[in-house]
Amino acid sequence: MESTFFTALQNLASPEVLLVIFLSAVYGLFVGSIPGLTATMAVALLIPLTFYMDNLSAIAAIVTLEACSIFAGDIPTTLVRIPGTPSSAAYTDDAYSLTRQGLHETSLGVSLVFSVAGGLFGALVLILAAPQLAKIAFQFTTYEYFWLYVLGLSCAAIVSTGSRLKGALALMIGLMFSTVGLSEVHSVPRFTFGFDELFTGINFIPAMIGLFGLSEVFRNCLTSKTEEETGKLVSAVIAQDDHSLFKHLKPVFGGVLPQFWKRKFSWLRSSCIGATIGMIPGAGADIAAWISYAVSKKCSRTPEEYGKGSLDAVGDATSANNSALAGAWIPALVLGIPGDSVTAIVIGVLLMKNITPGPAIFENPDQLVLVHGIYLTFIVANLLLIPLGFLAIRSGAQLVRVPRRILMPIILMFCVVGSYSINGSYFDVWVMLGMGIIGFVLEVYAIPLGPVVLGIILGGQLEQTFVQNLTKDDSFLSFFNRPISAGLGLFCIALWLVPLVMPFIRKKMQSAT
Amino acid sequence: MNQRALANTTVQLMLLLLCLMLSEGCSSDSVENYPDRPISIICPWSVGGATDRTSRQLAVFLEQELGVPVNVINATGGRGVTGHSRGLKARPDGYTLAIITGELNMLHWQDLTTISSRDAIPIMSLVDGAAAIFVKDDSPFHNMQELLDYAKQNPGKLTATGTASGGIWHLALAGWLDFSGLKADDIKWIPMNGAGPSLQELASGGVDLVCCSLPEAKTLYDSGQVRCLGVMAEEPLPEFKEVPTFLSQGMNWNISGWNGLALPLETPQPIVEKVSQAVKKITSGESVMQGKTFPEFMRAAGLSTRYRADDQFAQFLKSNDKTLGKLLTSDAFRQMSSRGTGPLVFPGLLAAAIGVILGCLAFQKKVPALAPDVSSDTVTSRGVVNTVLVLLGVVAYLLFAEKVGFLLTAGAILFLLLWKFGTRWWMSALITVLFIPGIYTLFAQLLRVPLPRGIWGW
Repeated sequence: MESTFFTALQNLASPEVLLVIFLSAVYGLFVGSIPGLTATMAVALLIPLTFYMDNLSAIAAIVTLEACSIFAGDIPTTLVRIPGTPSSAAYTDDAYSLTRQGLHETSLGVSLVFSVAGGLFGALVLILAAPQLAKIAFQFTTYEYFWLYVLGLSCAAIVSTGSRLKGALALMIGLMFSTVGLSEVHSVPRFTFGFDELFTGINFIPAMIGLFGLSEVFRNCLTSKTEEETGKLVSAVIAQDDHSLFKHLKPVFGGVLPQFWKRKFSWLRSSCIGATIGMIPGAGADIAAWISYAVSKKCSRTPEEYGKGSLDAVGDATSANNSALAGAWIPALVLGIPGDSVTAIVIGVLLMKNITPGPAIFENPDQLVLVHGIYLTFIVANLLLIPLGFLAIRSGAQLVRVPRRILMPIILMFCVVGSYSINGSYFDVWVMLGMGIIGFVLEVYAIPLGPVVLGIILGGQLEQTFVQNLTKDDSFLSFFNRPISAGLGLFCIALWLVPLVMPFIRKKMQSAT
Repeated sequence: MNQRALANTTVQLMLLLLCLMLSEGCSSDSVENYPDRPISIICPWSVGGATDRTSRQLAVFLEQELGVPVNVINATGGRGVTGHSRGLKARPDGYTLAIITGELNMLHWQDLTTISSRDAIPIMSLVDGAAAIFVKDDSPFHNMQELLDYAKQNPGKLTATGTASGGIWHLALAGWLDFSGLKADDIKWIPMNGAGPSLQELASGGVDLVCCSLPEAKTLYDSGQVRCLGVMAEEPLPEFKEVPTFLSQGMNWNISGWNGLALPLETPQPIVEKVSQAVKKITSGESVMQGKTFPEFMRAAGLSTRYRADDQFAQFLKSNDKTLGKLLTSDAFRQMSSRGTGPLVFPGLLAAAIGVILGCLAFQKKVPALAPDVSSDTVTSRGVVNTVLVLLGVVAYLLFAEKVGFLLTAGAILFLLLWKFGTRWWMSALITVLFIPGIYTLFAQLLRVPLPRGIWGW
């Protein structure tokens, strides 16, 4: 154990590997902060290059890329309200509200530090508990998945700001959108109205860009204000007469450490949630962020601030999505089953390099060195994120100083290019446009957009597991047949029933006393 | 801002753009110069799977052979309809290559698309993965005969998965049952999205068996978590010699999933030949990269291959289409597809839920609260005009980008919007000239994400 660890450390410390890590970090930050390019896509684009690298460099590049791009997704989320990657969708409204208050640098600072802390925690879980934990995730069948999806979706509806009914409505609208296209389980096209392109269904990336980004452009244009008002978006933290050396560090990191100390237990909770969700195959960083956000709101003393610019929310959700990344490697390394789409590619790369992921790699000394190298890369990548992320925040923050009349057309261009580039399809641009209009209308009626996005993302899987379960056994009782599924199921039902029943109980209690 | 100034700017803008394009190298679509710009390969399946791995491996080698960047685009979904139509219906100029898979010979039999192998110019078949039956390590079955006997005595008791209903592995299993004289649904098929999730379901005890190809199950098979009862091939696979074939167990039933490279119909003959030659060089092991050949890379990834070129591939496509068509149109298969939870059950439940929620909202008598910042006070007439302009901008992009190309379309839209929103014309032009080529370089050159090219190639 000791010796392989030191060999791994030596391998990692070679200049080539460090250079690869550094370049991948920059690349990851870049790709993550461009809406429409996801971490998965970035990794896929990297594959041809990995053929030229030795094993450790190839894997280190992927790990670094992934960790940096998930954080970088927060930058456009915060600054222009377009989630850079789907994992940032859960706290889009919080982060963007903070920007409107001039606190974008603080918000991104919290994102950065909590992301790094979450990532490090995830790495720790990966190092210490991988084999044991993977066995739990291996117990999941379609019944457990069904309840897991219900849980994720319920969280989105319950945490949404304003009326819970409207949250539920938004969720149903999103789920409805997900039924468009060729149903994976039935192989029957639905609601395609004769468009071949709709066979694929509605892709959630253009949908997300439209719902959040384009609708914001519409709203800004429609309520165009005078020049003086629009110039207001400058940092509220940075003092003009401050000439000290730390002037630039202050707005980003100034309030973060006390915030982190205050929230250390919630960070721990969120990171645990993240690592656990990440470990379950098929549920990745995006769902982890939603569930952690919901739990955070439930436990918070100021739940009314959630959705309107809560730093706590941003911190908790970002620690969860970064911790989920390392979690997803657990089933990939231990069982050879990908925890998310990135690790699916990783398995492909490993196979190409004659390494078969599975329990055996922990026994072969050569491959164990590589595994330890992966552990170490997670740590190095997250530490490297602090200075690089800081630079990215500072350069990104210049964006908000640009007047809106210039910023809005440019954001529009990014919406168009981002939605086109994910599949190279014009139809996705139409989807983006349609979703922009829908998003705008929904917001006018104060219906939250987050649940719509999650509905589109998870709807297909939810229906699939629903139909699979009913094909296995016609009775609904079979949904509670297995111990884990029964537990998850009862928990979901309680989640919905408690707020409905609470008022009656409270009334009874009051009349009794 | 008068008309002349606008005209001036437009001319200046055009000149600048022109210079830019010249500096990038003028491109023409002539056949002799092929290829002189990046090529895209359309892969109909998602990142990480066997087909995607093949496409990316091929792309790397093609890039070396043809001397231009070769990008892989995953056009997924719709059980392969999307990707196959995108690849085969692309402009036949040789800059879009299509990866085709077994589904091409199935989808049209299932009335899901009109596209079939007749719409393709076959170049080379690559992967050929025979179907195999897997069980969990603690399963009571040790060979195909035991499985068959059990299924005969307990029809409908066993569950199997591997892909969606009507997918190639479903077809393989149902066909085998039919061949053995059982009903095609004597083993219940649970539709799943791909082999990966199916194997996970098998290992966690959710189903009794999985039907998919051996390379797809390589990691779990090598670690002993699943066992393979037999492979539906005539001879044992070279990478998995210990796995018995169906033939050796007394069942003459063979079926496999395959993929290969094709070009859209009407691609000029010289281009077809150029691509075909390059691919032949790659699959014959002549072209070497990092000291390894393409077949060596494929073997390392555990993918079984069968290289059939041009006419041979075309013949295979024809006979494969016939075999699959016979299975898919058989009574046994038809009956099976029409049972279980219908496709409208789930949307129906959702519609009911939406109805209930809307009812509750009406019952609450809360007039829908409007968002505070959009009201009659804040909306100005100029705002309405601007919003309409934004809408028109997106629509204009959709209408013109494919013909005129990204640089001109996006440049014109951005310039007009900036200018109309109140930025001075020279400032708008400056921003446009800096921003649009910048974004083009970023996406198309650095990140290799293709943007609309237009008839001039930029």
